[in-house]
Amino acid sequence: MKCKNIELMISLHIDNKLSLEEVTFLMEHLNSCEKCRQIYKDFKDIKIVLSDSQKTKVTNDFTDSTMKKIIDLQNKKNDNIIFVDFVKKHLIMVASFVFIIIASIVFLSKNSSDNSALAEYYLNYEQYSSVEDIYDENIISFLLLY
Amino acid sequence: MKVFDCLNGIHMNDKEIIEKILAGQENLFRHIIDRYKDKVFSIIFSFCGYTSDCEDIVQSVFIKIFYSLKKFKFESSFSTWMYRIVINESINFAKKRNNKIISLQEKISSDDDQEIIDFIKSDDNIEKKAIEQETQKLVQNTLIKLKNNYKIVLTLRDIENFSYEEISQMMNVSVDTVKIWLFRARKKMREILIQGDQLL
Repeated sequence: MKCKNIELMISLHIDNKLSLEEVTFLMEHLNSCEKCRQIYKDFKDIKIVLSDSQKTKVTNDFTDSTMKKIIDLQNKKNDNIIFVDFVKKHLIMVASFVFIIIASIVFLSKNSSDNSALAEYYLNYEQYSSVEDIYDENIISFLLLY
Repeated sequence: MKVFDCLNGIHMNDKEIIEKILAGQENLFRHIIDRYKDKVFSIIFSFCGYTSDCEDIVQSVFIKIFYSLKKFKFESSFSTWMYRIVINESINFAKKRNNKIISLQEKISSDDDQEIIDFIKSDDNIEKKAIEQETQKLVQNTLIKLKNNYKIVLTLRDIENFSYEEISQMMNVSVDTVKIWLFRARKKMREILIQGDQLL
């Protein structure tokens, strides 16, 4: 068997995935092949170092802080759901309410524009009437002279 | 009642806890976090290396798992389903943060003073410990350089000690593929270490 195939067997062997016959065969090859023996040693060392490493752990309050975030997100989500449910359940009422508000705004704005036109009319009327008065006074004084 | 349920959760298996969470007892999710936080952290650590917000990434992964629980169909074990999410999220984070990775080497060198103090305090052979730590740094930095598939199988097998069958389920590939990937991962890792003249 070629050394290339033996390398795969080495990888399986360090994970205990070979049968007894395969292990015997592999050991015979390793006894006679220095290159494969070195690969076997290196693969084994890599596995040992990896399994001994990575003991880094999260901080003690990790669970609490994660749960707090989840609960906060849930509360926000629930608030949104409550609002949407309210709108759905009271759709007609909400639509009527919106209609009344819009109608009121339109009515009030129209009314205020009418009032301003009226106010303008009265203002102008007063102006015109005072001009007429001045005009009348001038005519009277002119007649009195003659 | 909620506190009582929380205490009860310690003795429940994953399936029972998930069923109760889906029924509204969301506080029980803390038992899922407690059970898997270190393993999830370890996988994400392998992908991203040490980053200042590594724990934030783990936290966001757990939040994602929580909101995905409704999609869990109880067809596979919960842990297998969960690790699939962890692996996918790890790949996404690694892609996003590819340019921002701070190597473990840098992190450890920044903590050198503390390490020296720890060495002096310890009764063990200082030189031996230093060599062990240096070796671990080298292997960790090499692991980060591997392709995603190789990184996943090595992490799951050699660090987390999952079986070939479990890994194949998590990664949704055949057991034979896992065998091949593991072999290639070890071979590649050895090549990188030899190139850098850093083999153990």
